[in-house]
Amino acid sequence: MTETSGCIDKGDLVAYLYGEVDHDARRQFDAHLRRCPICAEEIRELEGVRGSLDSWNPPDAQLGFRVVTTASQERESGWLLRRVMSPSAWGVAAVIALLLLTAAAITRPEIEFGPNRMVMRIGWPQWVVPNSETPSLSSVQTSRESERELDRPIVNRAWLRHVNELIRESEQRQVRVLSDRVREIELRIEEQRQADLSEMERTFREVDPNDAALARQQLLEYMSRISAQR
Amino acid sequence: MSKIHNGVVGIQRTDEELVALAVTGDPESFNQLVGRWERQIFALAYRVIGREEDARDVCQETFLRAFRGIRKFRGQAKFSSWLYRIALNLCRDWLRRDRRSGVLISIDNEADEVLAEDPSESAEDHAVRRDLHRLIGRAMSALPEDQRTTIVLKEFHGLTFQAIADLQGCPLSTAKTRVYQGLNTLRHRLRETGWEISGLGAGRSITAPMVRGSRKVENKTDD
Repeated sequence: MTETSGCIDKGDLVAYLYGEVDHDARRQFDAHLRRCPICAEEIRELEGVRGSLDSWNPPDAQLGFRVVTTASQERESGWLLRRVMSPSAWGVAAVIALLLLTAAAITRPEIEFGPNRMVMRIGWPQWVVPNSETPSLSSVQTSRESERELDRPIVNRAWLRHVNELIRESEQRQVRVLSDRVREIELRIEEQRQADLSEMERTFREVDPNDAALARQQLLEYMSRISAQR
Repeated sequence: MSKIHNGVVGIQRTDEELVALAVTGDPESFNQLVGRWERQIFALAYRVIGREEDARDVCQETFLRAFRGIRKFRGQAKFSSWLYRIALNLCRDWLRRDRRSGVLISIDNEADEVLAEDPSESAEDHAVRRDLHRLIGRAMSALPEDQRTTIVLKEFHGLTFQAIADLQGCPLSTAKTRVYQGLNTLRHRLRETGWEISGLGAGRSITAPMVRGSRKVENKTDD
C-alpha cells in the first residue's frame, strides 16, 4: 500500500482524513506531514475533493411513503406501501389505453354467429372455427361468404393455439415498445421544460435586478404550482 | 431528544422502541420510522444509482421489505444499519439489471433541479456550482460501484469505517482502501478538467478552471 517508504499507509491516511485515528497516531501523522510535503499535499487535495462533494446533493424529491392497511384482506398481503402521490399511474393508464387501441386497430376483431358455427375474423386471413368436431354436412349455408369459408381447410386446434401465441407475443412486444415510447416522450417534455426555464431565467437576469428578483420569485411560484398540479 | 412525561403527545421514541411496536402490528409506529429515515435512504439510493425515479422506487421497496421482514430484525444491529443493508442490496440488483439492459447512468441532466436556490449567490457563482455538481456526479458515476458506495456511506452518511466494513462484508482495510482509491480518482478527474483543489487551513475550497474566471467556491468548515 505504501507508495514511498516511510510514508503513511493509504488506509491510515484516509482514516486520518476522516478523523478516525487515536490521539497518538494523530500526533505521529501530524509530525510526518510537517516533514513530508508529498503527503501534506495529498491530504490537502483530498480535503479539497471532500469539499467538492458538498455540492452533490440529491433532488428535493416528494417522498412521504406510508404503510396503509386494507381491512378485509388477510394480514400479510393486506399491508401496502403507497406513496401519497403516484404520477406514474397516469403513464400506466395511458400505456394501457394506447395498447388497447392499437390491438383493436391491428386485429380488427369481428365475430359472426352462423346457424351451426362461429366465424371469427381478426384482420388476417379468416379462420373458420367449427363448433363441433365433425362439421355437419347437412347444414344449409345461407350466405355466399360462408360457403367460401367452408371450402378452406379446417384449422386444427394446435395451429390455432400457435396463432394465439403469436398474437400474444406481438401484444407483449407492443407493450414494450409503447412504454419505451411514452418514457421517451416524458423525457423530451422534461428537457423542453428545463430549456424553457433556463431561457426565462436568463431573460430575467437581463432586466433590472430588483424587478428580476420579484419576477423570478413569481415565476418560481408559478412553476411550483404547475408541477404540484401534475 | 425531547423527553416528555408518559401519555403526552410528542414523545420521541427511539428507533428500536418503534420497531418493537411495529412488530405487534402497529403501522403508525412503522410510519414514524419511515418518516425518520426515508430522506436518508432516498439520498443513499440516489447517489449510488444516479437516477431520481429509480432511487424513489428503491426507497419505497426498502421500506416495504423492512415492514414485511420486521420480525426478522432482532436488534443485533442498529435499525438504520439494517435499512441500509436492504437498500444497498436493492441498489446492487438495480445496477446489475441496468448494466444488462444497457441503460447508462446520467446524473447531469438533473443538476439544475438539484441545486438549491441561494438568493445571496451571484449568477456566476451559481453556474460554477452547477458545473462542479455535474462534474462530481459524472465522476462519481464512473467510479466502480463498491468505491462509490463506500464514499457515499462515509462522506454523506457519516458511518465509521468499521460500520461500512460490516455492511459491505469486507475487511476494515478494504473499506479504507475503497474510499482512498475513489477519492484519488476524483482528485485526478478534477485536475484533468482544470479545477484547482486546495484544502489549506480553515476551509476546504476549490477553484474553477481559469477560463471561467477563476471563481472560488468556499465550503463551510464542518469539522
